[in-house]
Amino acid sequence: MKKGKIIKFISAFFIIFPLIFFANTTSLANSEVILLQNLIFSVSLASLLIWPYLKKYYLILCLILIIVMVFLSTFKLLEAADYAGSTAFGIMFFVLLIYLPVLVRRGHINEL
Amino acid sequence: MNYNRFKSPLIFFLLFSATLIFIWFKQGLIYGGGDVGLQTYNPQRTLENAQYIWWEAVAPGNPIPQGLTAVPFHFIFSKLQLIGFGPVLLQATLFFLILFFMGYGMYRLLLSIFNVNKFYAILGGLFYMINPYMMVQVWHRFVHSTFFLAAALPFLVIFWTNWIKKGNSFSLLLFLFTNLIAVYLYGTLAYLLTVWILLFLITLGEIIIPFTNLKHSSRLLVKFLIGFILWLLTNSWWLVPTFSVGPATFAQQHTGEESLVTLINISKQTIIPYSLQLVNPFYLFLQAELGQVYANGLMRIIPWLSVIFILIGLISGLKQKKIVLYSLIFLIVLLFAKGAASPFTYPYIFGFEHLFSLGILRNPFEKIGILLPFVGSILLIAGIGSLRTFFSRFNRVYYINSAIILSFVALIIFHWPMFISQPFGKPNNPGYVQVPQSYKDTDNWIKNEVNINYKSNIGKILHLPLPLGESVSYKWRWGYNGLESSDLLFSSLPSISHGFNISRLDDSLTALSLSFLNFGISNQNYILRLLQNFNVRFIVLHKDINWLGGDLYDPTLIEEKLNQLNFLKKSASFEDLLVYKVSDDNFKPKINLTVNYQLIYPSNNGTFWPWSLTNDNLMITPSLDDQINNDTIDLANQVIVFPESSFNYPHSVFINNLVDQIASSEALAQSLISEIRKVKPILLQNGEINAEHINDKLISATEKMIVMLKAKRENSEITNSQLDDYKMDMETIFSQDLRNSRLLLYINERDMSLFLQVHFHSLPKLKEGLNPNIQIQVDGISQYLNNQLIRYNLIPQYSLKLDTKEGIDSQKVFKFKIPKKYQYEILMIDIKGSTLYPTFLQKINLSINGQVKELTGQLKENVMSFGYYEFDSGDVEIGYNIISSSNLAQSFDNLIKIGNVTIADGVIKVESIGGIGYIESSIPGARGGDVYRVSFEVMSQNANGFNFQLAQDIDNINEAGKKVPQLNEFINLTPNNWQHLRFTLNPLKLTTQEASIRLIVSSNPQSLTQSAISIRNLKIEKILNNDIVLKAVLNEQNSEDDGGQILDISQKSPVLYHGKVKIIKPSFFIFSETFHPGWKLTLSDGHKNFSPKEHLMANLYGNAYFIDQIGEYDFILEFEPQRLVNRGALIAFTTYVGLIMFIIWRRFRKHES
Repeated sequence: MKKGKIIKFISAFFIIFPLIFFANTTSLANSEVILLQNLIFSVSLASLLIWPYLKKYYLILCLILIIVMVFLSTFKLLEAADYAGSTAFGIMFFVLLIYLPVLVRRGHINEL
Repeated sequence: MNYNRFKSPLIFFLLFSATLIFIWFKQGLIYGGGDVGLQTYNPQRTLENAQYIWWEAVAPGNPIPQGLTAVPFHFIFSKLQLIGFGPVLLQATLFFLILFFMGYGMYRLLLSIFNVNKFYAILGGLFYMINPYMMVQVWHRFVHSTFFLAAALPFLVIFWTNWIKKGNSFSLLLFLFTNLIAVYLYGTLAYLLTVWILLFLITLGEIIIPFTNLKHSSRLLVKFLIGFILWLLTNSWWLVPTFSVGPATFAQQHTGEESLVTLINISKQTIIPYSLQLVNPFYLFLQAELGQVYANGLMRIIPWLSVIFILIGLISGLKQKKIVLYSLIFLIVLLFAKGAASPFTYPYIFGFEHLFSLGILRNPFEKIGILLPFVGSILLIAGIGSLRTFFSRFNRVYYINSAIILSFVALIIFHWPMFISQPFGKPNNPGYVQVPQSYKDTDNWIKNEVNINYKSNIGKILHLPLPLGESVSYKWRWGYNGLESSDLLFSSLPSISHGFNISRLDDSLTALSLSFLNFGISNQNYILRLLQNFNVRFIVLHKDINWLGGDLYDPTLIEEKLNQLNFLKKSASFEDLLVYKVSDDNFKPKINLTVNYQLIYPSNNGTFWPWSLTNDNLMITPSLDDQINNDTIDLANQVIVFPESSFNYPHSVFINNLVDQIASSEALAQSLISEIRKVKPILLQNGEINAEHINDKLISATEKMIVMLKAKRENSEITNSQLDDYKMDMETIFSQDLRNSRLLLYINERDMSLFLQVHFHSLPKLKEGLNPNIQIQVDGISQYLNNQLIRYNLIPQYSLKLDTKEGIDSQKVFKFKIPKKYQYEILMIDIKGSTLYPTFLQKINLSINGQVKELTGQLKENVMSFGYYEFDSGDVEIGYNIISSSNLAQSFDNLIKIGNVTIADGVIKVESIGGIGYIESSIPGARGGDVYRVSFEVMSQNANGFNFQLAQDIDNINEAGKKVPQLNEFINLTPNNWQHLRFTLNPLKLTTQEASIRLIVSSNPQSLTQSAISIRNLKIEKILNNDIVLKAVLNEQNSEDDGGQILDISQKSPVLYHGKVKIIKPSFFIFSETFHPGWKLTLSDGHKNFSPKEHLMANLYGNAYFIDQIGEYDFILEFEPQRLVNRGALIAFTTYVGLIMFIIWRRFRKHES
């Protein structure tokens, strides 16, 4: 079962990565950092699809990234703050996508 | 209804708003300027203008259909104006109402969304009024449509939600009515999207969160459609005209690529950290327009306090049925408002590249970002509520209460400009406006003159100096910088007072403006002709204008000239405003008839003005869509054809030599690539994504070419696949319109031609000795490249076989489209300074369609005639060598010398004293449009480099009172090494009358050794850049120019004229308003109606109708798109009445049952 999930995760990753790459990549930003961000987004979305219970942990990760963003922004390290913040909200967007079936069914979330 | 529930918050918001207004207006002055000018200065005048699509007051007229949205607001405020409200009270009233409705509206919305303590709903309303977005992006930006959006949004959502959820038709009526009162918000068309994105998301949320069943969903969808359709019907009076008339104008004012570049550059400021804080960093941090205090670390932390509450509300809202929708909407809006910032950058860019209309969202933070504080206010209160609930479990509610109070205190401190001074201007420049009394006096004087003397044939006011853009700066008591507003300040007559960002019209207005500079007293008839063509009755000279640093000229210079013109009389003077009147004999009315005409085919470049070449007759230009009738051409007095396009390009002999050197030298090849490559970082920095893509392909193609040349040199093989890859790069470069690419803003056309010609001339060199298949492939690429270079005006179609002497490395080519076969006179215009050139330009070699002709010129006033030549209809190409004048640099004795400046053996040494040393050489006879080449050799002694400056008389003056040259470049030098430098300057600004070159060396004043540079062989040469025009004289002028008589004329409105005309000869009926196909002339002889078949452009901007039927007719001249407004108003009225009747009927039925 576990092996099956890992195979599904890897398959999902390879399907999702090109889509994320298309949506998130331009020549305007540092290509290495964007590549890393693409990887993070692809891993997070693929893992959320396969293991939905990870939602809560990803939300905690988002919160941590937002706190990092606030600190970096206060010290005027804006590029780094932007990467932290944009990663946080990208992941948050995926988490809410995963919550969407629950929201459509119940109208709210009982537990995060 | 529990009245007490509403009373105290109502009073709170009334008092709070009133307090802010008192603080903002305590000086008793209005605010103005910026993009909107003086919106509330004269509502009556604005109403007069805005109720028609055609704005006659902004002469010579232009359709501004979205101005219709200003009608309801200005209608109401014009009534206040009638009862005695002055500009200050009007503006204060507007701002008070906006503030009050913002706060109270959000308060009511919060109460309607969830059960919340009144106190927290008030807090939510306060936050909506006072947050970084509102302070900077709404109040400080000063865009009035945004004020209305901010105030209307809460009510729109309340009423829409009631309609969607409960099907309450009365709520739907209130929704539509709110739209009507606040319709001014749609003056910014993008707000259509803002409002409907929000309403759509709310509706979608109601449908799917949760999804109950298909029936319920269908019902909600139907309600959405009903609401949307009724909204469309009730707004059709401005929607239909705007989307019928507007798109053609918008397309002329903005291109898709410009919108994309704007989006990318603005998105650098709307990154997630800033968007979340609701902060616009450009105004708040970079420009520090609200004070330097915002650079302080503590101030930078404060906005995060509210973000914490909002994010808590966002997460906790997911667990609450009533809030979950707003949590999701906040996230969606954040992703929209950040624009092309990370994450998910590409979808926005993709949309902009493929959909021109998306350009209205080129500043998404401004257009959609207002939804962030809107939804944020809801989530803020939700977050506060969640925290209270959490802390109440531990009986620690006072912690959270203290945090809330501290946060709001911090918020008030952060927004100190709103509470201590005002958020509009800057701390040292509050944005006050006090229009001088002289404006009212001048307007009243003109009004009086018109009422007494000119009841009909009133004419226009020309304001000089004439700004060519839409903005202006005045030296009023508190200054003024912003939208040129003479249409409001002068209600007596329409005002020609600024440009329109429409190239054909702006070109003609530039000619009108510069005629006062370019024509002397001896040829003042040209000035008169322009004034007549533009139907000018009065000229108002503004001596209070800030003319430096832009496209304006010194008004005192023009005053002297105006005083000398014998068709003008200085009639009045009010402080800094002087009024001149065109004598009645010389005035030409707006509508007139003429028999004689000449055909003008103007240039698209907008650098030629035909008035000096033409005679007094009407100028007719065929419109872009219609082909002119052949008979109409033949009856013209003369035909003048300006080049459709012109360009400079490097001589092919020069290119061939360069290619030979590149083929044999690796270093030179790399140097060529680095020239192309050096532009890349600037393109990236400026967000020029398309230009950067083309630049990348050019680099890639050049690298491939160099590899192939190297292979050729080393006798290695060149493969098909190498050539295929190379061709693909070339095809990408030419896949878009290269001539209109923004890359040409960074690489000038001559250099672009050089780079591509290197490729073109390298291909034959590759071909030698290759196998036949490869040779065929190379030939194919060569042919492709040749076609593209000709197509995009980078090389001429016909090779210019002109002699190339030393010093000539470029040629100028003109492409003409000849309308009909005639004998054309070849003219070179604007010949001032011809004596500077070899043979005084009286002998010149011209290439005409590839054939070289040695021609002798004859000087006629300011024009050199090179004889007659027969041209067939179709394309013609004429070119000449770009030659340079004799050296114009001043001798050593005549140079301006600062510092220690000496000369020995022809070498000038400039040493800094007290930190600075320079030489300055004036350029004798420098005039606007001139192109100069400056060359010299320079060597450094102790200097890292020097500054090269071009100083002009129109340069701006900084706060220290010093002139700031527009060109000021620092050039690095290697010490003790002579460097040869050559600069070809951009054409001088059109209003330049004096120019000089400065070479400046500077050093640290405390340093023991002073910097010095040595200069030799300084040359300043004027480059021949004059334009070629073709003129054919066809017929003698008809001695009687009057083709008839305008018997009667009555202007019913700015969009409707009635009258009577008698036609005795086929003539042109001229109407001196801006050309627009919407202006329709209908003639009637009592039995039948007809319209002239040809509607052409008159005098390079106006309207001309050719009437060939003799007789006496009644005429109606109407701007037909105005009918759309009338029809739309009828539809809207009918819809409102229908809905009201429906509501009454339903209430009646409900009451009965």
